[in-house]
Amino acid sequence: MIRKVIPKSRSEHFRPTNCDPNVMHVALRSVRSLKRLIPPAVRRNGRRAWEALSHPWQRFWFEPADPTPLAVMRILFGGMLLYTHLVWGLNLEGFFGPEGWQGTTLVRALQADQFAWSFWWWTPQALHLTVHLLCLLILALFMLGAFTPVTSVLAYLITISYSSRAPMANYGLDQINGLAALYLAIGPSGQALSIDRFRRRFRAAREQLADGLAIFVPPVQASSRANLALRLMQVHLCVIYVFACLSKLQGESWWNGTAIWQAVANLEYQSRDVTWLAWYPWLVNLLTHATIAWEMTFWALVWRPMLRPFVLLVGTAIHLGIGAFMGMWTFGLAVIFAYVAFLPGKQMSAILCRAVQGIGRILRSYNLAPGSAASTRARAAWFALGLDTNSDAAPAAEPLLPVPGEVSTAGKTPLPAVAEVAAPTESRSLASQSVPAEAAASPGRRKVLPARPSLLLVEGRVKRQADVQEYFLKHGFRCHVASELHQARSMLSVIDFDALVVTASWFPEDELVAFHDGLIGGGSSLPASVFLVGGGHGQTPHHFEETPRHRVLLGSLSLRELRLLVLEVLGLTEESLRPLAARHARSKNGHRPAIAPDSTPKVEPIPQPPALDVPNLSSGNGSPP
Amino acid sequence: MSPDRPPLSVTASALRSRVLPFIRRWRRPAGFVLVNVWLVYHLAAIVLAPWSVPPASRLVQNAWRAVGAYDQILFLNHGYHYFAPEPGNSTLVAYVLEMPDGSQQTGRIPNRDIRPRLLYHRHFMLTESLASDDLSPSVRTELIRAMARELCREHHARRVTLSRVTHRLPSMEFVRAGGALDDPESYTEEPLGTFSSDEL
Repeated sequence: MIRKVIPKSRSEHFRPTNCDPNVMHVALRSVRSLKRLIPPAVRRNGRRAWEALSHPWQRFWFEPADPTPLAVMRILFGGMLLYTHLVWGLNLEGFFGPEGWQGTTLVRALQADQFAWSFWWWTPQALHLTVHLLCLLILALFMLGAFTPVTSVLAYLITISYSSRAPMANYGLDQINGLAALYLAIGPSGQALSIDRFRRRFRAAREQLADGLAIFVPPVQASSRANLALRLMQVHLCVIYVFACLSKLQGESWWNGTAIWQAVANLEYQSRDVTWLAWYPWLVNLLTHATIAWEMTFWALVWRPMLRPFVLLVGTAIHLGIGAFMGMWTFGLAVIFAYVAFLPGKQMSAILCRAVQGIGRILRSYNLAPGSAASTRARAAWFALGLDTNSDAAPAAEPLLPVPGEVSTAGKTPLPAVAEVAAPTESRSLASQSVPAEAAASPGRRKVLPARPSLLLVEGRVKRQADVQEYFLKHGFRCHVASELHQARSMLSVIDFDALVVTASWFPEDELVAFHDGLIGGGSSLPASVFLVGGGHGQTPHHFEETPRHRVLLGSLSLRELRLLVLEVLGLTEESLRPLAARHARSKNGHRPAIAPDSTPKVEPIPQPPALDVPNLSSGNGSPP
Repeated sequence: MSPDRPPLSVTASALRSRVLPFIRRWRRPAGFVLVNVWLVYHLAAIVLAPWSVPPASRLVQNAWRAVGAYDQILFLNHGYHYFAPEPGNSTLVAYVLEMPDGSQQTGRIPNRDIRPRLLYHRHFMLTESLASDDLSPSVRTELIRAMARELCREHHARRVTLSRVTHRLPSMEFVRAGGALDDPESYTEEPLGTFSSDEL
């Protein structure tokens, strides 16, 4: 018998006398010991293989996404659920009464071996109307986005309760309603376009107005949960179409091309006479085959960005046809509402913001905007609705920040075209922002300070991020942080930044150059930039083009030098930001600032900041610590 | 530790020193793993629900058993067989009501005058259920009795006679030859029985 000899140093990990009494701790140490037995090359390749599998999966399901499509779906499906349940209520006793169309005995027998459930089973008949009205109220609140974390779950429970209690009166509409309600309950559907959000913005704006501060309402947060809900909706739609197609292929009429005729010639479904199709059998055949081809390929083509609009437009046409010719408007519209999950959140958000700002402009032109004499509540409501077109509180300029602690994206994506990066809606003139007189032109902002220049810092080291961010905040900037270039690209596409500072140099040089060139090519619509890359002090690398708005430096800079460089590319002076820097200092000390427009706050002395050392780009030690 | 604070028991001390740090450390990864496990299970559930609709292999039907309860609880157990395998004939229910005064009223479910259209479709789905192959004879009988009971309740009738009406779909040739969609010959009637409100 061969006995494996375990070296003493290793075996000690397994010896109970020397082990930590915590069993889990022992197990972990054992696993670590076992890991050492695996050759490093195998471990490395295994990790690579695992990352190759897991990173796309995580990116697909958990990459933080704009919750706006989810919010639009909440409004649309909320309206649909409200209407559907209003119609149930037209014959409440008929459908849900113990002696109705589907009496208790019948449904109990039908669902004898099922786990289907409904609160109607526990609702006394005398309370049916009260419960129904309560359900309608909850659905209305859900549609409007009030108390959404609670009402979204309740809306889902209501939807499945009604459907499960009346299973024989269900059809496709109830299935789509059910799954949409489920995914809207999973995702943060009240994060945007909701009363919840309005209340959050209103509170923030009111507090800031009361403090005499510049309005900056809380931003919409990109969320992994939003992405998960949208992805589930998308995948579920694909599953539906795959099986709808496969089940159709079991029937002869879908093969011989007459199925569409049979659908539209059904008098009980028909809402519009289309029997003229009988004289065009080739058209009937074509429509039948096209329907099958579309359903068969939906799951594959809808993921291609170029084909997605076409696929969704065809789907919209088919379901509008179902509504117009077969009278199933509710079903057709519900499916079209579900397509919103495929629409790009950023563009949708930008369009909605522009629409709201347009309304704001119209109201302003009719002098309906609250002036400085108006109450704080009115002015806060004006800002909270996003109607203010001049302020940085306007939704178009809202930062879309990943939720802290959310799963970060892994892997790098290729640099998009300049036009793609240049998504910000309008280029804002920073000079105009920094002039108090310009800011005072807005009636709602007369007593507030000029807007802070917004900065995007691209830096992967957490401690360095904190240092630089703190320093710039202290000196009157708004500073957002991106750890990766692709993250910076995402943020640039939704937020108007004034300047971008790249202090991390482990990015591949070609990617960094392409990113830099993209910024220069974007013109004034993209922010000015300062790139610190590895090398000797004060030199300009050869691969980078330099312009007055886009500076590139080799070597290390102190934070003060970096700040002065940023001010230089922005065309600003230290003086212009002093009030903001002073305000920051006072806020930090816990004193409420009482800023008057003509006050000249004293600026505290700026401490000598630590130097930023930038590792050499060509040395190859590019991984963040 | 403040002097007025009672000393921690051994269990609480162990909880604070070992268990809580362990939970804090593994909470996020464990949550992430759990979410991924649920996600895979959910995806399996939404695929197996329509896949297990007959005709389905024994493998798929057995696999569905693992997700069936989840599908049913979350109302995800659907086949998505829209107009499949093919758009078929319509099934309606014709009724003759005997009122307490001896008069008679006739009608058909669904009545095309029902508004809004969604309510009409709800009624149509009820009668379409009669043509479903999934219903056992006892459930079908109970469904017919429930219809009779509801008709008597709605119209305050003494007795009701029900018959199942099948409306066959016309062919393109039939329409081209001048046939109408509501041609009387396209309807077939099958008596379902007469029911008295007292015995229902």
